[in-house]
Amino acid sequence: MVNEKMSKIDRLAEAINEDILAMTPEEVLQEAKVDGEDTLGFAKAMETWLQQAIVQANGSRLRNARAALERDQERSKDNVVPIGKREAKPRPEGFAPDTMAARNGKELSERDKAALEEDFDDLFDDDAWGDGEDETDQ
Amino acid sequence: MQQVEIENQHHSLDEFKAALSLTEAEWTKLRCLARNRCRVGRPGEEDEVLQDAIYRVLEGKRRWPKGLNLFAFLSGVMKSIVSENRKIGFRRNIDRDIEVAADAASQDTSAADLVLESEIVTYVMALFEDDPEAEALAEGIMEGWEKDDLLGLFNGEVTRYETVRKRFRRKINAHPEIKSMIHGE
Repeated sequence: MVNEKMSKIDRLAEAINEDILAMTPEEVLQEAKVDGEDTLGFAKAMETWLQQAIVQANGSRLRNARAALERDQERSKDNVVPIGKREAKPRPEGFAPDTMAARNGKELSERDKAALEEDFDDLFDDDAWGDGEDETDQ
Repeated sequence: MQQVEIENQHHSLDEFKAALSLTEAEWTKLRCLARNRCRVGRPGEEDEVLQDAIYRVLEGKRRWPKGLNLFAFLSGVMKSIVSENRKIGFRRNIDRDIEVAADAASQDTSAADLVLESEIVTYVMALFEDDPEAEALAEGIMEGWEKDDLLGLFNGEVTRYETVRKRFRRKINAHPEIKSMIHGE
């Protein structure tokens, strides 16, 4: 299928590109040498360049990463909405919490002692039980 | 999640660096590909364009898709670089996709480009004046014929087709700076 978007020159370039990609290493070298190219010199020059390029690109990537991080941090600052500190409300005068936690787990409070005594009184109050109710099983 | 998918679909930077342990023939092949890409857009600058393509990948600006041959990939990056140079400002975000970049470059048919293309086509055809078979092949290729159609020019004889095709390529490659030859730049 013809790619209508491609110009004639593009098609020409693509056809030659395909041909080069399909060439064997031997064919490539042979043709280049016939054309008088210094293929070995070029390969060595590229290898030398590549070593320098890798170092340079590493530095560049690091700088870009740092810049991106700084941008990110700046953006984060803009997104943060400060929450005001809540002041502790003063307790009503005379308020004293009477909980086990407030007593640090020690001793019973006066109120607890009174409640406990009331519970015992109820428990040992003979009048609270109906007559003969316990004898039905005998 | 999307980032993980991208990572899975592309070679890592270390894999790319390892793949660049190339032989003399492989470096030469890359140079041939670069020369082909630069023929019209940046004649004589194949070494710079090749280095630019490799550097963009090293910098992380271009990523090597898995399953794509290294040479085909770098050739695509070079194509993108050359078209970018020709039509600065036309491409936003399309550098990510080689094929899209190619289409976008071809779509931008300004009057100056059309005149230049016409001159180049005339010049290319003139190269084959004394070789009717290669001339017909060049015409077929520039019209966008498929291989089967091109083979028809040689009655389906594959060997003859391949011989002429090689002759055609050698002739074009012998004139890497077509643009400068036309304009005397």
